[in-house]
Amino acid sequence: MDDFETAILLSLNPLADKDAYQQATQFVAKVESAHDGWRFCVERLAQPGYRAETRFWCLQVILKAVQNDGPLQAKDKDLLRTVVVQFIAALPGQSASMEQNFVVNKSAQLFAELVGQDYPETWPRAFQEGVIPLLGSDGGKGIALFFSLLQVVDDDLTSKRAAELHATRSVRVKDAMRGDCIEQITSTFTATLASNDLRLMALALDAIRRYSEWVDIQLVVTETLIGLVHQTLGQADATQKPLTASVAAALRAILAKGMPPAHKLELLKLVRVEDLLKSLAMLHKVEDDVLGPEETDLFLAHPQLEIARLVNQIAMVAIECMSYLKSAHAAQIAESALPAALRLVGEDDDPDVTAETMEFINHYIRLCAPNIEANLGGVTAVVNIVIERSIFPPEYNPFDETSSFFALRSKLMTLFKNIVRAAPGLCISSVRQILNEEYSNPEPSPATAELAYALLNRCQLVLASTENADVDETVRLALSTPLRCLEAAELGRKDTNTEAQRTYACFALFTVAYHAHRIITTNSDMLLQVLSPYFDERGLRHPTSAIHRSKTADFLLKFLEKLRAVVVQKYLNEVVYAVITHVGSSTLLTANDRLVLYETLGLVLGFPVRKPTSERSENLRVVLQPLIRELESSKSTRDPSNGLFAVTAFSRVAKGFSSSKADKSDEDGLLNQLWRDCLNAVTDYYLTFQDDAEVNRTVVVFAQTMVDTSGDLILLYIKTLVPLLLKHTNGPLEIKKVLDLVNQVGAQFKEDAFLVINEIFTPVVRKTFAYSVTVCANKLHRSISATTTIVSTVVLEVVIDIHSNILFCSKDASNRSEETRETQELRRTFLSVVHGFLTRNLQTVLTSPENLAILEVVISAYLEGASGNQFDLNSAPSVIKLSFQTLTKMVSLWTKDPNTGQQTDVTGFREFVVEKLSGVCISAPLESQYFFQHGFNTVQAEKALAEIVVLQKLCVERCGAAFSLKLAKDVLPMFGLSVELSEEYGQRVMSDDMKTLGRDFVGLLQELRKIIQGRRLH
Amino acid sequence: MANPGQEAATFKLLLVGDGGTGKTTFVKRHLTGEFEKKYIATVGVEVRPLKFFTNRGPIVFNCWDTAGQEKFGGLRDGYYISGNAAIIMFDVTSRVTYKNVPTWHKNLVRVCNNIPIVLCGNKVDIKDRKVKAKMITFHRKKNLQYYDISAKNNYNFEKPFLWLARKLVGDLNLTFVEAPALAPPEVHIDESYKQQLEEQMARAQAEPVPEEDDDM
Repeated sequence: MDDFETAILLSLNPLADKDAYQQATQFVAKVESAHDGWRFCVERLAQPGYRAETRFWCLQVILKAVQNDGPLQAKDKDLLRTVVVQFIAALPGQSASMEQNFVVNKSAQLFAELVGQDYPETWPRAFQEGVIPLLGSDGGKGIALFFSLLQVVDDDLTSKRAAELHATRSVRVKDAMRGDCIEQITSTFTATLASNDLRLMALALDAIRRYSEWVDIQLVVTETLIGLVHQTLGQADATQKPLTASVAAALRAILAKGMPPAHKLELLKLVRVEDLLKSLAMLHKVEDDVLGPEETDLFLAHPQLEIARLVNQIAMVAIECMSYLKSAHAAQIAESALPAALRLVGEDDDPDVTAETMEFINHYIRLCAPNIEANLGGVTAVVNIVIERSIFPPEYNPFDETSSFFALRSKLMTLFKNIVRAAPGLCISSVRQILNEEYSNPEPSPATAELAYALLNRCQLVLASTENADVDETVRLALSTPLRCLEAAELGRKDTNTEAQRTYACFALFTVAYHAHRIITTNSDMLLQVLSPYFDERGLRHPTSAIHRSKTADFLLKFLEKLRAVVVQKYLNEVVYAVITHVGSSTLLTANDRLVLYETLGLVLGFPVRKPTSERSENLRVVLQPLIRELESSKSTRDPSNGLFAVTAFSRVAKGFSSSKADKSDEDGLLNQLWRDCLNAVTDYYLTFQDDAEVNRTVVVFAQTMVDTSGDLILLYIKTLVPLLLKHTNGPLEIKKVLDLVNQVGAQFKEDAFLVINEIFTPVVRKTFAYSVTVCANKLHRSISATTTIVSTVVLEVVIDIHSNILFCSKDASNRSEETRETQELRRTFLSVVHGFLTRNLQTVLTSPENLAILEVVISAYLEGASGNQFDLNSAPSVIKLSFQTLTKMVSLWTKDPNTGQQTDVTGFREFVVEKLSGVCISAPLESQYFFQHGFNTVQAEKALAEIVVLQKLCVERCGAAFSLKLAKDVLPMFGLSVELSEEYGQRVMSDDMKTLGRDFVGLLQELRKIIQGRRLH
Repeated sequence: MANPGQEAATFKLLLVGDGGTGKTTFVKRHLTGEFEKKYIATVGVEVRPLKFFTNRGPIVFNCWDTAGQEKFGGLRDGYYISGNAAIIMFDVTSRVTYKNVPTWHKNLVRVCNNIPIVLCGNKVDIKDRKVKAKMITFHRKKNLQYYDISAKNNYNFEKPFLWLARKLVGDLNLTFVEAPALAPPEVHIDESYKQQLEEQMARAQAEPVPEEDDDM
């Protein structure tokens, strides 16, 4: 091993000695980047004795040089073509270590790259020199190498993906191969299929799979292939043969080839698919359904899955032919595919097998739907197999999400839903039958109960929009008489899996109840009966399973949410009493479960009623007062933890009142007093524990809820809370939550919130900007400074700089880091909040004496947002749009309207409009990464640009010729636009035709971009 | 069953994918429990051992966390030599990172013949998802395993490793007997959002596989 090889091996091993590794890495990097590094590698490649890793590395350096193309002369390419052909030709004769697969593939990659560049013009005999001769060398080894080369040629040059990446190159290579060598190549496929070497046959089938997409189909669909297909898949002895997966995949690829339906039907006949389908319906799965060793590296699925894909493909082709050609024969083929598909669904536990056959079965059901009676046999067979396969197996634990049955079941349920659409009567009668059998079964099983409820629920979901009497009747039966196997007496008598299945059966029943709100609303007498399982051992009191209890709490919340009206009208006290007995501390329910129950209470009590009664406020008092006492006790014990629960519970209860718009009544006074007590208790608690981060987070959520619930009572408290929250919150996400709160106050109370927002605005801005950092380099920052300070030639330089760097910036992954994402989210929220103030009559907050000092900071945020560069490309257009909308709103509110005389100028703003906004309207879209990447013509781009046009029009309207002159005389010439064109645009801005101005503006930007690009090239 | 003091089976696990998809964050989350918010591009490769305890004894994945960015690629596919397993990662909020998955896969399998590979769509905690479940079909064409994951909230966090361990050991019943020590998730995934993700994934699985890379 020489020093060169030692260095390469060391550089591939970061676990080696650190100094040696670094030294080696530097050495190989130097060779790789050297002008003639590739020549050095060509010399080493020819020398014997090097290890596979070293050869691989040499090939990689040469490949890189070929890909870069720059340093290579025509004679260098000649040399490389010769070297690579010789290298490949020598591979079959070398020892096993030299033939390491990765060396073979890297040399094939280099060959394909040279073919892609030079074939057929400069290198017309590429295949005749590099590929075909392999067939004559060293028997099987040469043929295997032949197929390896074809794999890489397909991946890199002729596959659909390669064509998408380099269309012209792909078309050129395929066209040339058709005239030059494809017949020789495909005849090798056929000859190899006739051999007895399973590995070579697998490689030939893989090549057929790859190449059949673009070669003449007659070249691949030969008698030899058809014979092999029937020999492998079509034997009636029902045993799985070697190469099953390869043969199925190859035939599927052939059938997927784009052809007119008539040709496809001919192909189906030629392959004798009906015989094949008959055999496939009987070809039972072997115990060890795995790929043979000869096909494991060919990206195939296991044999039964490949068969499932093939059956689906045949059937879908037949259905396509049936639809286009109205062919009875095609219909017959589709019909004969059903037993094979059902055999696969019924026999294979792999969910993917079911998934692969579903497309066909769904189509089959849809085709049968118009005349279900005539096709009852087929559809019933499908329903039966779905039901049979959907029941939980005895050893199955439904909480195990990694189990393959979990996925299989999910697919079967989707299939059942599709069948319900086509044959509702058949499905509901099947469900009814299962239920009836279980009612009369002395030992009903949780698995069957779960299945019945799960299937019934699918019927409910699909038929939700139609009142189906059979479904309604079955739902009423299921809910009024739950199966006995769910009952408490049964608990603990079975193993863990059965208990888990029983839990799932309860959940399935609760799911049916959740979707039965229409039935329960019209039959309200059954409500308490339906609620009963939620509160006993089948639900919240389940003796052993915490998940069971937690999920029940969730189900109860969802269930009552839809039935609030019924509860309030008939059963308020009963329901509140039943829930309230569970909300106190208990060993059974977790804190989170209890919070869900508080939310349930809030939902029920907060339901808006036209004539509220004191019953509601009395119930609310019973719910809230213990929580207030908890807060007080938390204060006295100096322990915030109990209080945290109480504050969260307040939020959950209050949530239910957020939409309460009841008539004013005496009850309002009582409710207001209760909320005031809450607010006082929480504020006192917060003043005590304001340093606690968790308390801060919880109080923000509480305040947000109370904004919607307590009316303007909250304003007084906001004034106290927000400055403290700002003081103690850290990190962009938490500041964002405070901003959301402020925004919510503005949205809810509008100008009534002026005094409060006016007081807290400056601290909010200060805190926000302490966390906002500029991303993507100083250059963008320079551009913003340039734009916001003075429009000068600096702007043009910066824009040119940005265009040079934009490619790097936009691909920079740091733009997607979590840190950047959080900062951007905070900025975006800030921009929306201030925009909200301007549209909700709170604009004077920005210009009041208390906040005037930070107005420049606020405006700068929008000037920065105008290019969208500080945001990721997905959100940039909406930020640009929002920024310009806000700037437009500012101009409209803060400059005098000459036509109506309305508004008075905010001091200095008119000058700002003329001097600064004129520049921003032009520079922002030009420096924007978004427009650079997506152009000016996408829907989002057009919307954003339309806002810039609106701003320009308004600026002209308010500031007159001063604005257009600034554009024409200063801004546009500075970007290099001729005086004539600048003046022409200045005139157009003055015109009244917005539509034309929009087009002119885009034209102007395109012109300016050309100028900038021209300058950059110089 | 595992024996106490049993020597750990060691595998070379390759972690590849575009820059910024969260490969390093994912490994660090396993290694120390921290969730790294900053982005510092990996240069060349960094090797970190991740140890798991299973019912069949301890397993160590020597995790070769490779550079996603071309300019920091170092020896690129040279690092793949002798790899035993791989994770290809993309970012579900960035279409281009999914678009590049076939290239990462192609480069991998040309060096590592027939190794188990898991495709992971990271950052599913972010609601503005750009690569929807139904668009993710590449794994079905190549018969790979796929998982939605989130290094931020630990969603499906250990599943790629469990699947790879089962494949490498050849035991479908292998389980992790000791949960890795993780810091609490940065954000809790909303139960209904989780359910929504799973339903989307189930629906996507039920769709037929497009014949070719239409979505690429």
